[in-house]
Amino acid sequence: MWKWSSDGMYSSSSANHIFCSSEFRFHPSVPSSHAHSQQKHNHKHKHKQVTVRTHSFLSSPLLSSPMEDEIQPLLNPTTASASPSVATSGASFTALLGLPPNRAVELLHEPTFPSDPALVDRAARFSVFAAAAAASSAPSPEVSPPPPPPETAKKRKDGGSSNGKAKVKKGKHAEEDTDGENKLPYVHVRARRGQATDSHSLAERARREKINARMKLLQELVPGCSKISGTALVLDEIINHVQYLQRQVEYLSMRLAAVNPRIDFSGLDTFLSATTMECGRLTIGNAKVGTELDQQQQQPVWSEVGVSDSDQMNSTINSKRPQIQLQQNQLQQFWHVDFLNTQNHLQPSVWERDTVMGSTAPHVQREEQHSLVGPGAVPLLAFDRVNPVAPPIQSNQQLKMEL
Amino acid sequence: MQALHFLQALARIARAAPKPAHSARTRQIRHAAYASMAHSSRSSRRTWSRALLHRLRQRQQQRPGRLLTVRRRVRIVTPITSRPEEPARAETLRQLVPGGRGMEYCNLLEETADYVQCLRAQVQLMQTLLDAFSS
Repeated sequence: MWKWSSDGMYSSSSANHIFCSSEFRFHPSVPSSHAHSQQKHNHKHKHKQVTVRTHSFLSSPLLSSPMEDEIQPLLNPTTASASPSVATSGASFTALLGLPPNRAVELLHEPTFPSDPALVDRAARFSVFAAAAAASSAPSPEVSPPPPPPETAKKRKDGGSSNGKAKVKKGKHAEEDTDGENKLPYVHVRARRGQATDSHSLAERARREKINARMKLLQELVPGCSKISGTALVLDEIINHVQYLQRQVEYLSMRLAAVNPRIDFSGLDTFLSATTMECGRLTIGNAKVGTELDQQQQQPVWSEVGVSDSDQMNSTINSKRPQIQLQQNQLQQFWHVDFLNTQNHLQPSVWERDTVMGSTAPHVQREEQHSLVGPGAVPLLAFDRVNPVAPPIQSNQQLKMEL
Repeated sequence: MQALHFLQALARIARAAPKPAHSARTRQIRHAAYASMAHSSRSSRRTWSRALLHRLRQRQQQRPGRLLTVRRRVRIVTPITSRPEEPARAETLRQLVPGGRGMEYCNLLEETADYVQCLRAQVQLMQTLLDAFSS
């Protein structure tokens, strides 16, 4: 008995609870936890009833039939009133169906679509996509505030890139839209023909374009890749090239290890670091002689120094020649260093040719530096002294060869 | 900057106890080459340069205690970072480029481009050095 009473009480209390909760939901002034997009409709007293009822309709599927009956006639006049405005906008209604559902619902509630710019403004704030004409894309970026989601940034980029691909039908719709939406602060994007226009596909498209741009860049870097069509083969070629370069490094390091004991580097690096700028000024004059010669060796070098970030890569690689003159000041140091790399044991001869002071000064300088360095410098100095005559002739040739 | 670093490293190698062991010197030169690549002014901000330096330091630290330490190489068999839209070759590319494991495909391509440029510059540098010495 006691059990029964408790059950009865529980059931009754639960029934009360449900009843109270349903009543709670039906209160118009209570803010809803669902469909936040419809909150803005509360501002419009005219549509308040509609909003609340539809909200309740959406949120509680357990509604009894009388509520549904109440809702249907409400919905019908809205659609009926919406249809004339929809008819006036021509093809926009069909476009509305393609919009995300929340926006479509909002627009269905609105009897006259572009009549209330403030409402449309708020609608757009929650809308993910808005098709626009090219004419509106010019004023819209100026009007737009900093777009909160990153999607709009992508859309803007996408809109700029896909300008020429708009369909006529969409263009018409966009023109109709802009009459009411030109006050919107958001960026309008023109969708390409036959492509989906929701945020996911837009983001994917932007990502795909980024990937394609980088693949193109890699194709230009790797020799022989521009002729190949197809991503898989290009990737294969890139992988082969990377493996080839790594093997090349191993091979050259082996050869350098064999060569190494013969040449002493000790004086060289101090010489390099101490006289970087001064030599740079001198080598520019020499380098200009050899600029036209053997461009191939220099191109990757220039592209290496000239490229500061990936965004510049495309432009620098495509327009290497014109930029050569511009980047000469930047490249001074590298030229100098590379020049000295090739001319390490022939430096004194070059200095003899260029410096006004004469041949003794560089030697004196080197001696000083060698004394600072240590005993390892003596063999290098001896090496320099031994070949005074032969190197000058060789240096000219090597200058032209290696620059 | 790359060339300077490399030459300094080479000088260091030549100065420090000329071992007759060819392989040891080869290894040192290769180490110096990769280190100078990673230290180049253009690539010091890159992911691959940091990963490369980390890998080099790991190898250096492993070397002294080689006989004692047990090399535990935890290689992840299943690729974590692969996504369905990536081509099949992306995994090999990740293995080739240092630090490629943790990157997305998009960044991987960018890093590969930079890595290829640096590698090519290094190869050229070593080639010209060899030519200068041998002639």
